[in-house]
Amino acid sequence: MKRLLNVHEAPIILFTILVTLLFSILSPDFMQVENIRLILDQNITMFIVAIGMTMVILLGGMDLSVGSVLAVTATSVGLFLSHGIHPWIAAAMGICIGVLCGMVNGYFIAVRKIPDIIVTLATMYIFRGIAVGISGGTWMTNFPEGFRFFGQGNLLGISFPLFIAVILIAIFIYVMKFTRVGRRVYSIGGNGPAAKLAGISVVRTKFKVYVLTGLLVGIASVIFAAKVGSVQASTAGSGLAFEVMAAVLIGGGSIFGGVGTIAGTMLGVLFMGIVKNGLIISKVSPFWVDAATGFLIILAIVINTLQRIRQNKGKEGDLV
Amino acid sequence: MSAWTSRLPLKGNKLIVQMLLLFVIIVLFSFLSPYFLTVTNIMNVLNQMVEVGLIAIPMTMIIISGAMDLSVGSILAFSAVCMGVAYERGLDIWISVIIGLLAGLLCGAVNGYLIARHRMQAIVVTIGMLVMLRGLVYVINQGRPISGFPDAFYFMGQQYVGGIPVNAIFLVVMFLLASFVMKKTRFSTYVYGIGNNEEVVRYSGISVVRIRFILFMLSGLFSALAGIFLVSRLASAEATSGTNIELDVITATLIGGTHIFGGRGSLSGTFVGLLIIVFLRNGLNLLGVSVLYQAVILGALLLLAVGNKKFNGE
Repeated sequence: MKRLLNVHEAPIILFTILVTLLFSILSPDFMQVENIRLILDQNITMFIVAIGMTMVILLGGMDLSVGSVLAVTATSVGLFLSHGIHPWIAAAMGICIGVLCGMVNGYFIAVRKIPDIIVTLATMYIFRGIAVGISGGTWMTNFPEGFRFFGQGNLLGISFPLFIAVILIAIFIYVMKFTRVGRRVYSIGGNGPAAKLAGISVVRTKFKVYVLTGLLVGIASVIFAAKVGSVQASTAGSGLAFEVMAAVLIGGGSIFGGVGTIAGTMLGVLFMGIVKNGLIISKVSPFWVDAATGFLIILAIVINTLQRIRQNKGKEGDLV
Repeated sequence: MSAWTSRLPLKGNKLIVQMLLLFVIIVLFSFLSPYFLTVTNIMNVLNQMVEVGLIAIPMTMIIISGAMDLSVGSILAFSAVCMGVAYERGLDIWISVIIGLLAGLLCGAVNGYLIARHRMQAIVVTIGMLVMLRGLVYVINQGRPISGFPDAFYFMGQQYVGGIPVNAIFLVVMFLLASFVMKKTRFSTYVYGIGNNEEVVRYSGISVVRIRFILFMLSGLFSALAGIFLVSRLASAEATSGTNIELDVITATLIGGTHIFGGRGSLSGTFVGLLIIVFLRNGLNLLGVSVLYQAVILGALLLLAVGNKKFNGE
């Protein structure tokens, strides 16, 4: 616990508390149990996607395509459902499509060694186009009752999506901390050449991480579709990548790779959720929400750089 | 795909291969559509390529210096809307234009300050600017389009001189100018140097911070310029203008042979890349392909261009 507070999560916890206090002063509706539950529920998609993004950023990479993968998956799940496929099977097939998208990213980034930013920029547009293509540009609605369980059902007293998210977060915190795969991700992000010399297959680990990200986005998009109840391929998940990336950076992840934790990212997502919810609940114009998100991204990178400077203070030479 | 790409003789003279690709595209579309190879259509293409082309100039320089600017589309919209709002408040149209340009310059300066002075990651900073400026655009004009500019202003985007669009002439002049700068001045040597080895440039006593700062300022200024030409061409300043333009710009630059890791590239290559992109888009438009499918094709082209280079570079 002491170590947790000591290094990375301290600034974000502080920020979250500050912002929470600010909004509770601005609006009496903010500090209600209902509202807090709403914040958690609204950001389930982001929580799940952020797990994958944390791993990608830990590698020193970046995935701009998550929003489009979400659109592709959600649309195809909608299509499966409209053809009368059983909800569980449709969900499973949707998750498989997410994995497939992750494999496409992974192939180009890890195997063909094209810079991640270019690959995911390209796939961001490619997947979005495919999503619109298969949906025919219409809204996907009228999901069957059985499917809505994924987004609105209750399990053991808490909502089903939250349940899934908590399980996933727990699994991945364990994976990243105590398993070989997790430590490999950290070592590649920390020092790629050294990791390679130590006998770690950089290609395979990178590929795995992108596939896992695809898997997580797949799960998130099933929940997203079931919760929202209607999916429009051209707008679903647009801007998601930027927001999730901001959350990771705010949560103490370093854009240079090798630094960051899942727990910190989750706090980052929570922080972003609180800011967005607070802005709306204190009746600021909704147009400001986007501007605030962008500002938070820049704030995150500022904090990130400051941290890096602080860490490197003792070392010889300049930062590049 | 790899077998096919590896056979392309890209390691030889890049420019010839690009010209060939352009030629293939033009021939292909002239077979597919009877309207493609008409003077009206070609002038139309020239008229439409100006925004992407103007932004591609500083983008090429920035990518050569080893960075990237993703915020150009939002800067474009921001300055267009700033100009529109200034005009609506009753200012003279040319003063409004200057205000728009200054707004773009300011955005570029913020980018430059954070990236050059404080050495923050260019991609993240510009993504932040992308989201923030797009939000600010909606804040400024509440999402409604601004129109009703005076006729004198439309001269920039809609008039023809000797059968050639004014803005296309302007673009070519800018390209020639920039090409001269990138070939003959010290500034260009520094830019290429930063892309190849930043350390060495700094140890040579050259201010890397200043060069990078200038590059991002240029990017902001040219994006603003593109925004103003766009407003002049479409006769309305909209909050959504310039969305996704960075895909076109970056694809044009990378197809044009600029290396994604910096240090190599040329503006003449970018110009050919630009022609490839605009003729491709125009041809697809004539065939009635939806904009989102066009994005799919452009995305694939982008992957191909970069993957190919990588393949040959090793």
